[in-house]
Amino acid sequence: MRAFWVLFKKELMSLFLMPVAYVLGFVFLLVQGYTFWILVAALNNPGVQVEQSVMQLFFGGTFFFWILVILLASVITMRLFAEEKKSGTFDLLMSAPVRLIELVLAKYLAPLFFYGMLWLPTLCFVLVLDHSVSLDWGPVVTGYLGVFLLGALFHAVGLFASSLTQNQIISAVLCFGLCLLLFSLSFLEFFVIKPEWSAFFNSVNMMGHMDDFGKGILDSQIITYYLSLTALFLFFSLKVLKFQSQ
Amino acid sequence: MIEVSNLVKNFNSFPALKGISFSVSKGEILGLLGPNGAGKTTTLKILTCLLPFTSGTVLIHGLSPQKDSLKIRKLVGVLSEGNPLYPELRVREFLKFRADLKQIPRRQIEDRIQTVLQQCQLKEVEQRIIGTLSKGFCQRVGLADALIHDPQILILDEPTIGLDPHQVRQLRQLIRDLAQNRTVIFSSHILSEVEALCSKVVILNQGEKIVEGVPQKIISQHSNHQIQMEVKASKEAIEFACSVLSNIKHVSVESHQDESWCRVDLEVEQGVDLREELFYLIHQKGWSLRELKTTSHSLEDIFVRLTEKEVAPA
Repeated sequence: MRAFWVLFKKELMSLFLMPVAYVLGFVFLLVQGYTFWILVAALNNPGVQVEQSVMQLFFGGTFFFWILVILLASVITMRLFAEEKKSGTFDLLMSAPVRLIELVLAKYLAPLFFYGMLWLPTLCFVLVLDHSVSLDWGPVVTGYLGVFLLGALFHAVGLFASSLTQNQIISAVLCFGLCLLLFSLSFLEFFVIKPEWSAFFNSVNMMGHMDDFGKGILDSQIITYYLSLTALFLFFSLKVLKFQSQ
Repeated sequence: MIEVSNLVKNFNSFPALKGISFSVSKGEILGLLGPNGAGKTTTLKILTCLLPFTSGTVLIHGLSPQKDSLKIRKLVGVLSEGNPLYPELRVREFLKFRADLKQIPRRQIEDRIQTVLQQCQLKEVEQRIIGTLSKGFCQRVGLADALIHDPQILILDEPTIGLDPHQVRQLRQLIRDLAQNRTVIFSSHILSEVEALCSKVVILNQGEKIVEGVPQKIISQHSNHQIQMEVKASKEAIEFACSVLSNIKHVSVESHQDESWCRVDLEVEQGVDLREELFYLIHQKGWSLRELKTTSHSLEDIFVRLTEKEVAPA
């Protein structure tokens, strides 16, 4: 357990030493602020007829949300194993009494923590909104839970992509592609005629999931979907790393 | 104590190690030699639990890498090939991180950092960022990392690369001091260094062990003793005179350009010194002599001779 904490702290420190992390943070908050402003402005316009609330649209209802979350996961995770393998420090880490699972979890949770920290300042937007209108905090909490679960899955995909290659660019592109593929399952239900398949594609509809979270709906099936896919990608990463050291 | 017997490692169908065996005791320094692709790094990676092996037995202080990997990694200090480090960290930060990772009790970490900074002469650069250090300093940081947890076994892959001659001497002395109560294995291409430092040598070639033993014994076993002399006589006369002497395996006589002096190379039987006999023969024949000496092979000559046969032409 001590090895996990040491590696977690080291990984977090490396993230904060990366200039790209600050650029990402700046762009992320800028775009989120801009999105929030547009949403508030649009919904204040009496001519716009929308059934959803500002927070519902803020959590997954815009193009900006999806592109930011996928891009963030791809860029933050691209160096995790790719860089260690390229520079040879992966062997340096494994020459110490460290379990591979501890290394994988530390490498996974540190960027996820960073992702959580990036979302933290967006609470200011909610507080501003709460100051102006009476806000239902239930959907806000479930919305943030959805954001976290989505980030957890995309970061696990990124970790897996990084375990496959020594090249950070390939890792980022692979993660971006895989996340986009998972996201695109949201649209497949529109093309399916058979009702039994439609139910399946509905259950993997990420946009639908985020819409539910934004409404304050907590569905154990959806939570299980995200957690099990996350665990699957972490397991794949572990297997890939074990296979590579054969 | 490290015991390796019939160690086999296959990468898919390619056999990297074909059943090598050797042992190293406490207090010994083992030099692992071999041309590129001989299996040195594979062997070292297996000993440091970074690579599983196909078959055979490896016992490190009685522990098996397959079952007791974590315990072994606590016992072993490694300076890896290429010396990978984190260039963004300061020397002290890096050593603190490694000490923590190697699970040194927290109260002892500061003492251990001070000790290795002193041992590896890194005091002056402890606050410098590793990425800004020279190769020699980086090599010493890698060595400090290998020593930070005071390991019972030290595995050093090319430890003197990048060091200046003074640092090489200091490092040799440090390794000798450390080896008094530890087991040290190191690989190097600098054979004079291995000859000077190691109490035991294993030479690998194409995944097989071809020689194991004390360097001086290997030299005496594998080198043909040679005598060189320069004599003023005809080539034919010298060849005839030498042919009647016993204990000579091979004679080569070359005339100098002025043709009055000949250079003679004699390959003689193991442990035989013919210099006195040759001197009396030359004196008896009334020839002039201006050089008479024995020559012996270095470990490098033996290494090249034993491994060159196997190297395929490019």
